[in-house]
Parts: sequence; structure tokens; C-alpha cells
Amino acid sequence: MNMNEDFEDILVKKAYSGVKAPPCPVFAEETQTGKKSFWSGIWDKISGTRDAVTQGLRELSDDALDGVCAAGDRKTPGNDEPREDKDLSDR
Amino acid sequence: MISSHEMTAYYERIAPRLTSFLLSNGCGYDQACDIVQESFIRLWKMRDKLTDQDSISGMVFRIAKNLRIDDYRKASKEVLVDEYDDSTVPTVENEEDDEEDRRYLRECIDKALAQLPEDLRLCYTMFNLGELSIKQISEALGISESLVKVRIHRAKEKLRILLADLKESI
Repeated sequence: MNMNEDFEDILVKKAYSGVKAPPCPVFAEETQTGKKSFWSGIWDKISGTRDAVTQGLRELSDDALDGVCAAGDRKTPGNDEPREDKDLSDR
Repeated sequence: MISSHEMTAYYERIAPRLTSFLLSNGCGYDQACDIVQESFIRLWKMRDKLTDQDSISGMVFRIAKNLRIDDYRKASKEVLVDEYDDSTVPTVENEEDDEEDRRYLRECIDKALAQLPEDLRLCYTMFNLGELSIKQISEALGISESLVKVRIHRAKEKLRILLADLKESI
């Protein structure tokens, strides 16, 4: 089979001979700094989530405590005495 | 592993051929530039898996061909030849006469290449413009080397007929 350059091959090459390639992209080497910033980014994300969860729990527990306190204020049988008086009588 | 310096050297050597290959397969210049750069960036990301550095040309052409197909699928309607304006394609030489002749030649060649079946055109342009070896084309397209040779031969036969008028006019 003839794989030599023929007339049509030369014409095709000539037609595209002046085409300019785009500028070379930057091939960045992965550095230690890059890795650090990657992990610190992950850590920041985890910390942020942790803070949000802690804050949420704190608010939740405040609400829950309000409920407990309210329940504590209710007069129930056997709990008529104010706590302070009871403490004094213990002494 | 390939260093950034080595990859830049590969780019300087392969990118012009890859750009021509993409243009000859119906890409506009901007699209071809995007595909060329994206192909090398993808190659760079998988550099630790590259064992045979001789196959880098074939691999980057395969990535570019797949990106081209992805683009083609995204664009539901695409005109193969007339989608770009030749005047927007930057060239190295600026002589006006040469530029005019080349523009006319590009029109004729683009029309002829667009009439080839895609499988023939891919093999032919990879061989002739991409300057890949038969083995590299076979790897890039996932077909046998003998089939690559047959397709190049058929493409040349068809082009010879399609460009007969141009040959006589020169």
C-alpha cells in the first residue's frame, strides 16, 4: 500500500500549515502548601459544621431547660414546700 | 512521572498538530483551542498513570476526539464546514497573498474533507495532519492497524477524486 505523500496530502498539509495553537496552559505541580490549604479547607468546613451543631444544641438545651424549669415550678403533691425552706429545715 | 516542564515541551510539539486535526474535523477555531487545552489539562491530571511516554500523542488525540464528540452531542445542530469564519483563524505568516491563497485552499480542502465518511476522515487527518503513526491511530481509535491503513488509503482515493478539479486549476 502506498503511504507516501501524494498531491492531495501536500494540499491538505498546506491548507492547515499556518494554524496557530492556543497558548500553553499552566501545568501546576502539587506543592506541600497546596496540600495544606486543601486540608485546612476541609478542617474549616468541619469546624464550621461543629460550631453550628454546638450552637444548635445549646439553643435546644436552653429551650429544654426552660421546659424543665417550668415543670419544676408547677405545684405537685409532695412538692408544696419551697425548695429553700426545705433546705433550711434540713439543717 | 512527567514534570510540568516536560509536559510543556509535549504541548509545544503536539498542540499545533492537534489544533489542525480538530479544525479539519469540523471544529471552529475557538472550540478547537478549548479542546486542545482541556485535553492537555486532563492528560496532566492523569500523569502519574502514564507509563509509556511514547503513547502520549495517541492518548491526547483520543482525549481530544472524545471531547469533540461530547461537544458534538451537546450541540444538537451543527454545520460541519461553514460554522466558522476563516478570517478568525490566526496564522503564523501574515503575507496577504499567501493568506488569500491559503484561505481559498482551506475552503476547498474543508469541503472535500467534509464529504468523507467520518471514520475515513478521522484516520486520514490523524495520520496526515496529526502526524500520528499507524500504531498510535490504532490505539487512539481502538481499531486494528490494518483497518487504519485501509481507511487512510480509501480516504486518499476519495480525496484524489474530490480534489481533481483543484489539481487541474493549479
